[in-house]
Amino acid sequence: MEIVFEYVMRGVMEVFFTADGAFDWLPLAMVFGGLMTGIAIGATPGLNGPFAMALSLPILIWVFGVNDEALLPILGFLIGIMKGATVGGAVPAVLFNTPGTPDAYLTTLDGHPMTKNGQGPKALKVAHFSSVCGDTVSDMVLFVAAPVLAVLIESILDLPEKGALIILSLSFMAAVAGSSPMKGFIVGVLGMLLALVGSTLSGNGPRMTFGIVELGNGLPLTAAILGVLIIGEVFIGLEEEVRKKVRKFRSAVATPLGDNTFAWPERRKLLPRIGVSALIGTAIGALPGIGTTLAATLGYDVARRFSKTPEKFGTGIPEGVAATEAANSAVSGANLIPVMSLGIPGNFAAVFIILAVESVGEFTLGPHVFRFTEIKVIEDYGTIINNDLVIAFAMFTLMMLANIMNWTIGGAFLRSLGILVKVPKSLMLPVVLLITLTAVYAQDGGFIGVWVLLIFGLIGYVLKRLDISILPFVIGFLLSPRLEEYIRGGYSASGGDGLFLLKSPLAVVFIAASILILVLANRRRKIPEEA
Amino acid sequence: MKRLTSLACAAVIALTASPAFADWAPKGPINFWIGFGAGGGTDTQARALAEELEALKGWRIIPENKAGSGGRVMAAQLKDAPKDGQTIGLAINSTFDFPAGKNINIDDFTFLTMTAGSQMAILARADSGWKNLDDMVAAAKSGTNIVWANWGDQVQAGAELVARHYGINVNHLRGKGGKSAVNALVAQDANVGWGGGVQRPLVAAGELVILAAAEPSRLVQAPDTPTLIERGVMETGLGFQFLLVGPKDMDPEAAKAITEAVHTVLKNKDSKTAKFVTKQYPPGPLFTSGDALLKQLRANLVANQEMIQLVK
Repeated sequence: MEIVFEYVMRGVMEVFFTADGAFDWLPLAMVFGGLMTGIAIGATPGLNGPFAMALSLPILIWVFGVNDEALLPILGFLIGIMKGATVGGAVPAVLFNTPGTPDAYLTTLDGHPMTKNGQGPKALKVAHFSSVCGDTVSDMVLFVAAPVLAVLIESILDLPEKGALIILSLSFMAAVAGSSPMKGFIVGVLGMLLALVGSTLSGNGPRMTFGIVELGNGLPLTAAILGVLIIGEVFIGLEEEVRKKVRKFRSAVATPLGDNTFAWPERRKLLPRIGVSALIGTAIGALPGIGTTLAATLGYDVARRFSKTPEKFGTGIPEGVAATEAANSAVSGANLIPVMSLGIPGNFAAVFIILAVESVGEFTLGPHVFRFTEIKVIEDYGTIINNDLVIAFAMFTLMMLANIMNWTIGGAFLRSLGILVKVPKSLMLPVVLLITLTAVYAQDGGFIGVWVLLIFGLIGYVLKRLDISILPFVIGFLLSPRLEEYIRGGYSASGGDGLFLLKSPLAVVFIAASILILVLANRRRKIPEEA
Repeated sequence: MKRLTSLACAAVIALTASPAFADWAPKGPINFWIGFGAGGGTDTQARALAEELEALKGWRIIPENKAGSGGRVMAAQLKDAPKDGQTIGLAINSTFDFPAGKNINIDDFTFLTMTAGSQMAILARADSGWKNLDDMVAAAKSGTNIVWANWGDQVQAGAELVARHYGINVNHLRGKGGKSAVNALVAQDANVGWGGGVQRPLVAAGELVILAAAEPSRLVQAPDTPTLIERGVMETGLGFQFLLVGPKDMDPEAAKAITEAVHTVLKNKDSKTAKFVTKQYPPGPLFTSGDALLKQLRANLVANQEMIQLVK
């Protein structure tokens, strides 16, 4: 226990102090900046957290570099955006009946009627309070669950089982992330195939590079992921701009303000409702691939079903806003559980956290992080310590900092965003394109990076137009190298036994489960079509 | 070897006196390619070196990681890079002198200088209870499945040599980069592993033990543990050296100027690079350069031809 405390303390110190013991304001400032950016982005219809994370990551790397010292400021900003955007999403939903994201739709159900009744500011207070509560609960679960899960995994799972677990999570993601499990599965496999380009562990040199030596170490990661997520979106935007599909936003209803106090007794009364929703959100968030929308829907539904006055839902009551906002915000922390403990990202925010960690410094995510190595100071050699674990606790500290700032200043900032900002696409698209192209050219292998960015942009565009979820594609692309490492390693460590994956009972269970999930998901989706 | 080093040093000092190359200055930034991923020994060393060369010479140096296939992904690109001295790379000798890479030929490069050498060791977890190679061999003979973590053909062949010498069977586990083998050991994915230098803190902490040394001489951290050469397993060591390399026919003035600048940094005991190298790759910096370096690499190539048959 003492050693856990020691590591936690070192993680906290890592955030606040530089190596030579001076107070370090930078990570604090970065969390603050990220949080404010996130709230503003979340409050802007058409923009969302992952989008902002994707755009700021290359800029952050350009500013801070890729040394170990750059990691915490960069992560601080990204975590700030992630948390801010979750909270900010309530603003347009409540004030303008314009949900910026699908999960915010449920916030409009009670939030906008409250605005019409002159209780707009109160609705925002409720949204903020429940959102931050949900987020904090979820973080607490993350702080405990991730290390415990990681330690369990490391002690129980061997190479074949780890490989089988990745297969299981990929098939789960394919089954839940999009509209069709089979389509999700196919694009997931496509992502995995594209990740095969480059060097192998076989020692026979690079494969599938078509003689392009720059691809020897694989398709550039940042270019590929920004391409499919950002450039695909830009292509869609350009097309819509050409077709002049300009959507008109309803303007805010100017209603005389009523009683907008949201005092402690009322907050306390809402707490049980928030607690239930937060737990629902956390449980859903911990499963990879399931988004915030389901959490919000479930949170709202459960709240209404167990309410003594279900008929009041939808007429503008704080309970409705609290139930949705607590649930969708609780997803964000728990979503990091599979990332921190397994290195498997469950949503786009997690993808960008992984991308940051892979690009910057020595730290990598995965079960090995939570090894409580005994800390020893050895003469002439320095300190023996599991530095990854210190960084992990520093990351948790950054998240708590973001929560504290969110509690204190976030609410006021949120309520100040009374105007609906709509960035015209004709302005936004070129800027986004320029930033992405420059960033990729500078950091990810020059023109090769640019080409990969554009080609993956095209892939993203086609997937969007075919209404196929991009998440399985991205996750497949990200996890494929690790899967290969486990499978190849498991095979050779077994002494070249072709059936090594089926010799471990746990691996067999994982693989059977992944097939079952796909079959069941396919069958479930088919029934409504036939009916 | 020692004589070669001092000869090379003398040559460098002699060259320092001639004014011709002192005038060489890059016409733009120098691209400094690193043959391995971020965070490893090559990377840390290269970035420190880049920083201190910039401070020393006022050149602008841009380090960039080009990891993969034991430095060969970087080397394949370096081969066709401009020869004006503004593109150089840091990798290890086996990137060039171990003949497994189909598209890497020793004649396609200009070898500038060594910077440091490995502390190659056979490692096991301390909780295995093994104290030396004999304990591991005994365990293997009594049925323990040996999974041996490595990062490339050369060291895998070395593991195979050990296995054949003692008549045991080992399964190989391949990872990317020197750190992966140590990670595999600690994560219990393997029970034996190679370490080139990254094992230092873990050995010092008592997490890992050195079963045998694979250098020509015993290791700094295990002065009482015999080498594989002493044991009669092999005639040469498996150790590697870090090499600073340019493309073939690189501007000779640039090559001299860069080599001299690197040596200046390495000789300064207070420099970040020298401190890192001395700590991680004791006894400290190596200075073999130019023709002496090329001669040694050619000799390695011949010796390695025989060993490669073992991985096939």
